[in-house]
Amino acid sequence: MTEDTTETELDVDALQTKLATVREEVGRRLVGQQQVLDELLACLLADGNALLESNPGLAKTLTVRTLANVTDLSFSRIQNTPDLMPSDITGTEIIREDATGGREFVFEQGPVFANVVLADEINRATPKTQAALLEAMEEGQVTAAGETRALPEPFFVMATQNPIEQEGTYPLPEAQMDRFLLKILVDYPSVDEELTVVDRYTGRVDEAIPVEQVLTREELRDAQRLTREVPIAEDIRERAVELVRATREADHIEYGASPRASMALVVTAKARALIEGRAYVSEADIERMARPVLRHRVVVDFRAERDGMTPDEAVGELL
Amino acid sequence: MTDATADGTDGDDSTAEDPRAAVEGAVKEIRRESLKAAAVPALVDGVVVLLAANLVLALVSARLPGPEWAGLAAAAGLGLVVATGEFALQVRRPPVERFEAANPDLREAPRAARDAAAAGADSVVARRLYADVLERLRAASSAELVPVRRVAATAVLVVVLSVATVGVAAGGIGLGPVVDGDGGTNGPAANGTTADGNNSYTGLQDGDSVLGAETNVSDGSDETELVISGTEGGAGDDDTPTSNRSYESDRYVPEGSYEAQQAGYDAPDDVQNADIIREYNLRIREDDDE
Repeated sequence: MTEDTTETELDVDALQTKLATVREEVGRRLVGQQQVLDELLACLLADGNALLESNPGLAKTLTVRTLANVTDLSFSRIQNTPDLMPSDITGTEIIREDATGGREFVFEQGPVFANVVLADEINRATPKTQAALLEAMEEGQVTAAGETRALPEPFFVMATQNPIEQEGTYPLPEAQMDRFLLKILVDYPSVDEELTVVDRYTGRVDEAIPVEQVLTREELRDAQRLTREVPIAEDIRERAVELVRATREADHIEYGASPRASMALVVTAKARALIEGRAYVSEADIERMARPVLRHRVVVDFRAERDGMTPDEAVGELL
Repeated sequence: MTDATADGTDGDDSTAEDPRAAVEGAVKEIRRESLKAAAVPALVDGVVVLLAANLVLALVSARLPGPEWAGLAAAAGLGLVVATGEFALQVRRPPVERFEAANPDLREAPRAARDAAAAGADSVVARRLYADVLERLRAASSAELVPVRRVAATAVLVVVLSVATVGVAAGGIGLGPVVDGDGGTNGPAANGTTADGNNSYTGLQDGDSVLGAETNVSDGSDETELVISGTEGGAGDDDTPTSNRSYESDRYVPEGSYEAQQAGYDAPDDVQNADIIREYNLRIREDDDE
C-alpha cells in the first residue's frame, strides 16, 4: 500500500508537472493571456467545448492551434460563412473511380473529423449549419449520407464569435449556448505584452515558433479521468449548486442557468484545482470558474441591461 | 489540551497503511481536540460568571429565599448555563472547519479529505489528497484552536474576582441591607447582624445609618395655646434670666405665659431610635467624665 501511495503521488505529480509544461510551451508562442490559456486547459481536462469571444486579431486561432500541437491532437479550422452547408462541415459522399475504372461512393470526411475543431465566427453560419456542428459536439458523432460516424476522441470544439459587427449574423440560441462548457473572453493585451508580441513576431521570417509535444492523447484521456476524481468538500459543492440556483431567482436575471451549469461549474473547478497543483477543490476554484461557466447561460433582464449591467457583473453580485 | 499533531496516526501502523483510514482517524482526533478546545474557554467564562454573580450577591447583600447556600447555588447555576451555552455555540461549527480556521495553511484540504473518506473515495487523486492532508496535519497544531489571549485575559479576571470575593467576605463590605428574622431591615450587611436578629457587634456604628438620612424638617402648623401658671420661687443670687424663674418643688414654673409651638418631626422610625441616641449620650457623658 505504501508503494501504491508513492506511485499515486508520482502519477498525479507527473500529470501536474506536464500541465505546467503545457502552459510553458504555449507561452512560448502566446504572450500574456494566461487566464485564457488556463480556461482552455480546464476545458480540455473537463472534456468540454469552449466559446471564445473577442475582437479580431487577438490570437484565438494561434492559441487553439498551439494547444492542439502540445497535446498531440489533430487540428482543423472551419471559417463559418452564411453559405456554409452542414455537409461542408460533416463531410459528404463523393464518387471516386478506382484503378479498374469502377466507381464507388466514398465518404469524404469534413473538417469536423479532428480532435480540436476551431469554428471561427460561428455566429456567421446559418442555424442549420450551427445545429450540425453543435450536434457533433454534443453527441460526438455526425450523421452524413444516412450513416452515423463517430468523431475522433477526444473531441473539442473551440468556437469563436465577434462581439461587434452583428450585421448578417445568426446569434446562437440560449439552448445551444448552454452546450458550451465555458465562454471565454479574450481581452486586449497590456502595453508590455503587446510590445513583446511585436518583438517576437516581427523579428523573424518564420512565424511558427516551435513547441514541443507534452501530452499524448492517452495522457490527456487519463488527465480527464483524474479530473473527475478530484475530491470536493460537500459544503463547497453545495455552494457551487447554490450559486447556480441563485441565478434563477436573482432580480436582475431574466433567465438563470440550468443544472448543466452546476455540473460544468464543479467539473471545471476540479480541472482548475488540478492545473493549480492541488488534489482538492477550493472555494477559489468555484469563484474563479463561475463567470466563464455562467456568463453565457444567464440573460440579464431589461432593466439591468438598460443600466449597463453585464452577465459577468450579475454573476459577480451573486458571488 | 495537548500540542500534539492531529494526524490521528500516533504511530499506529494499521492506519498508516491505509490513508483513508488514517484520514478518518485524523478527523476523529481533530473532533476530540476541538471539543477540548471548546471546553477550555467555556469553562473559564463560566467560572467568571459564577464569581461575578457571587460577588454581586455579596455586595448588594441580597438574600435569596431558602437555605444560606441558595445564593451560591444560583451563581453556580448561572455559571453553568453560560459555560454550557458557550460550549454548545462553539461545537455547533464542524470541528474540521474550526481546525482549518485555526490553521489557515491547511485551507480546504482537510474538509475535502474528510468528505472523500466518508464517501469511501479511493481513487488516485483521493489517495494523493489523503497523503497530502496527513503530511500537512503533522505540521499543524491543535493548540491554535484555543484562543490563548482571551483565555489568559479571562483567567486574570478570575483571579481579580476571586480576590474581590475574598475581600468582601473578610472585610464585611456591603451595599445593601440584610433581612432580619422579622422580615425587616436591620442595617447593612457589614453590621454583624445575622439572619436571626442577634446583634453580635458591639462597637461603634454608622451614625447615618442609625439615624437615617438627613432631611429638612418644616415647621409644624399645629399651634396650641396653653397657659402655664406658677408662683415665683425664691430669690437667687445670680443675674441670669433664670433667676426670675420660680420653682415649685421640683417643677419648673415659668414667670409668665408662653406660646408653645410644637416642632415637626420626621418619620417615626427615627423616633424609635431614641434609645440608641440616649445610650450614645450616656456613653459620651461617661467618656467626658473620665
